[in-house]
Parts: sequence; C-alpha cells; structure tokens
Amino acid sequence: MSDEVYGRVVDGDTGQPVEDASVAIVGGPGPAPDIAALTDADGRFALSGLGPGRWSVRVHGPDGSEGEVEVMLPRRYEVEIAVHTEMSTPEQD
Amino acid sequence: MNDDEFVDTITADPPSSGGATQQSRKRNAASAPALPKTLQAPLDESLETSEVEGDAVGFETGMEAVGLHDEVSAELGAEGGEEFAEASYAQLAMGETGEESAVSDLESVEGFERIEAGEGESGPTGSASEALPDAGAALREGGAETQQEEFLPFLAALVPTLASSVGPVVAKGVMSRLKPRTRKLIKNRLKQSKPGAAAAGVGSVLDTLIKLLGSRENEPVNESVGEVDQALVEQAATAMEVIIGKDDRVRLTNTTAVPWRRVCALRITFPSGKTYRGTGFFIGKRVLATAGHCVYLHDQGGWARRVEVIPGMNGASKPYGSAFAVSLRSVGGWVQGRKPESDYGCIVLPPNAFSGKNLGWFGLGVFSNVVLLAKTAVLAGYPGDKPFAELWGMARKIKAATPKTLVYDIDTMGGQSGSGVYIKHNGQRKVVGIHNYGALSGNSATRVTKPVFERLVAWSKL
Repeated sequence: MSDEVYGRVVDGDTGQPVEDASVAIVGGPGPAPDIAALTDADGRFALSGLGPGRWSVRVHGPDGSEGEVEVMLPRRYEVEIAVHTEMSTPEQD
Repeated sequence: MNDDEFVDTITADPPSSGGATQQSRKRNAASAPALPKTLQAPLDESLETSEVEGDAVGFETGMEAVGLHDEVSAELGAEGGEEFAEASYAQLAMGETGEESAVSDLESVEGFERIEAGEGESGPTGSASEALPDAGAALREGGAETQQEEFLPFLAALVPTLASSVGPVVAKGVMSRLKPRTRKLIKNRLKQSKPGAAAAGVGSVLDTLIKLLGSRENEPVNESVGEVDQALVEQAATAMEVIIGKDDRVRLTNTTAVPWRRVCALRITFPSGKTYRGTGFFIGKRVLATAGHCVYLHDQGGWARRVEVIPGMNGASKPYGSAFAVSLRSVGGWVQGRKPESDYGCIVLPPNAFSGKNLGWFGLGVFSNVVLLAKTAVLAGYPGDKPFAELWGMARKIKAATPKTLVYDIDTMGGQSGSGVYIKHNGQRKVVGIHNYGALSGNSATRVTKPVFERLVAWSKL
C-alpha cells in the first residue's frame, strides 16, 4: 500500500504560491523514490510511493529559497510548506 | 508464478500516437532447458556490453558495433540463492589496484576529494567515508576557520541545554533542521563511538554534542517543559552544518564531455497534471534507461504523458537542445507488481533527436558480488536540492548487494532517480545499477542482473 504527501508551497513572506519549486523526501522510516516533484502554478505538488510514518519533506525554490516540514502519513489533508530566502549583508569593519 | 521466470515488457506510446498500451511476456532464458555443455559459458564469466563513445567534438559519425558477450549458465544468477552480501571493513578500506577506477572520472573536477585507501571507509555499521572531522581538525582547515571558531563556543554552551529538561525538544528541533547527509553522519558516528573513549581537546565538544543529540532526540518530550527558543535551535543546526556537514558531491560542468553528455535531465508530466524531475542515461543511440517511476507512476495516472529529455544540461544551458519521448517502456514487476527491485524503465526518442548527433552510451554489466562489493561506483544525476538543472556526481564504494539491488553511501536527492550507477571494468564504464531509492540506511539501485541486462539490451536496439 502506498501513501502520498501532497500540498502546496508558498512564499514565507508574501504567502503567494511558488511555481517550479523542487520538492523531495529527505528522511523517513524507509526508502523513498528519489524523484522530485515540481510545483505547478498554484504551488501544488504530490509525492507518492511512501509508507506510513513520519517523513521529512524539503523544498528548494527556483530563487534559492528553502523550506522543510515533517509529515505524518497517512494524512488526509494537504500540507503547506513556506519557503524562505536567506539574506544577509557582509560585515563592515 | 515466479516473476523471475518472465521478463515482461509493457509499453506505452504517448497520447499523440493513440496511447496504445501493449504487453508482451517472454520466458526468461534462465528457465529455458539447460544448454549443452559445449554452449555453456564458464561459470565465472560476466555479461557486459561495450561502452560507446559517440561522436567526436566535430560530430563525425562512426558508431562501433555493440554486441553481447557469451551468456552465463543458468545456474549463475544473482537471484540464485544469494542473500544479502555486505562488503567487509577490509574490503571497504582497501584501495583499488590493477585497473582504472571509476573515481578517475571525478578526479579532475574542482572540489573533488579522493578518499585514500585505509581512510574514510568503515565497516557495515557505518561509513566513515562519512567520517566526522574532530572539531580541532575542522578548525585547522583553511577558508572556514573564522566561521568555525565563531560557532564552537556557542556549541559548547549548548551542551548544558541539551543535558537539561528541554534537551529532547532542542535535540529533535536541531536534528530535524539538519541536512540528510549531516543527520546520517551523526547517526553513523553514534554507531561507531566506543563507550568510555573520548576525543581530546576541542574534539570532545563535538563528540559530547553528537552523543547528546543522538540520545535525547529519541526521548519523550516532558509536557511540563515550556516553549524552546527557536532561534537557538536554528543557530545550533546552522553551527552543526558548518562544522560537520561537508558535501562530498561535486558539480559537473563539462557536460559536453564523455561520459557526462550521456546523462540527461528529465522533466516528466503525468496524467494527473503533476510534473516531476528525474535523470536518465543513454544505453543506445536514441534510448535512455531510467527508473520505472520516472515513466510510470501508479498514483499519478500511470504512464507519463510527456517526458522532456535534455542531455548534458548544465544550469540553464541545453548544449544539445531537448527532445520529447515517443515511447516509454517498463516491466511487469514494476507496472503490475510495484516491486522496487523492478523499478526501471526506458525512454525512446525520435530518430532525429538532437539533430542526429551520436552522444554515445554507457556499457552495461552483470557482475558477481566478488567483483562488485567494495568497488568504487560513480553516480551522476540531477538532484532536486540544486537548481534545474545542475549535474552533480559522487563516488563511493558499493557497500552491500542483494540478488536484485545494490546499496551505497553515495549522497543523492530526489531528482536523481534513474541515474546510472557505474564502475570501470577493463577500462570501460559499465552501468551496474539504476538508482531509484533514497534511505538513511543507504541509497539503492536496481541491480543489473541477467534478466535486467537482457531487457536493457533489447531496449537499446529500439
């Protein structure tokens, strides 16, 4: 039996959906297919072929933003993952 | 009925050609009547196909003929009675001698570090090619010294927090924020640590932290504990990544060179409308091998509706353009049986793809455990934690084998499904596995066994 992580990726600052973000499983109770989902224009994705348990899902946005959540399967509602871009300025003496 | 007796071919043509699905079933040669002794190959002989270079820089044509080596006898087969086989510590620690290693393909790549014989590889309890530097060594490395020196006092101050009542919450938070490779490094280090042994000097801080993280992460959370400072957790995870999480993958940018031009980024759309990224590699002039779930996904409507193939993609550059699949193939073990060990398939391109250029293809090889275990393999593909689409590669020894799968500690990410796992044998690159699953215990590939080999060779001639 296979379960699925499905959901939506949004920009953590604006709340807007992020298209073309890569979503992949990075940890869990067992093996996972090493395929990555690409979000659509609504930020939606689905990753299937998973068993029950707690899975770590990581997102990489096309602009370098990142986000990660843990999802317990089976799950009957979509997960929302917010991505953030790290920003910093160099230290000035 | 034993699935190993039969090698199913299930094909699908894209909707534009009518979308017909055909299934044929062919009896595996392994179950055929035994050949006369004069036609049986020696027991130790392996099955291989030749690697083909492809067109030179000036795109001159001139393909070499590809042929099969003699068949092995029916008694020899990875499925025949072998169970799980693991490389020994001594095998993993030994340097490869006598023939060129596949790792030579990465040695000229910027950022690549070769692990010498005797260091970096450990036994079955964990791979010390994932060895953690002691904090002192980390501080001595150039480039990141200032940053690591800055983090170390913070990490030292974290020790009492982890030892306190909020320790489980902090440990869970830190571990969940670490990259998969860093988490694996910590878990492997915990397996290798000996009771009572303590590193000297600054290394003891890192060792203590690792032990606390590992032990407290699995403890239940005390409900009476208040909220934990998330900024502290974030900073701790960042510090651990700086000091521990060295990424051994290297980016491959010379993607018009052999063998990288044979590796293709895939953009795959299924009937559900969902799109995915994967990897494939040439096994014939117009045919790629890939993971079965890159062409058929049970929960997304079955056969992919569209597969874009981009050979040698390098960032935004498509040096050979792109082409769309005209036909997809897989096997009954995946399409009907959903078996991970049968999770492989192929993509057929139109004859005029890439303006008729011959990009060459990988050889294929069936080898015994004696040959494969502790052999350095290279895996190059398009990981999903990098922009679409950058080609990244890594080399590690094959650490374990089952009759139908290979297991290794080569770091992979979603998007690398379908990458070839190849070794060098007699100077030629031979794919011995098709990467398809990631796991903390070791990533794995469908092993190229005799039926897999025969199926791939048949497809390569399409």
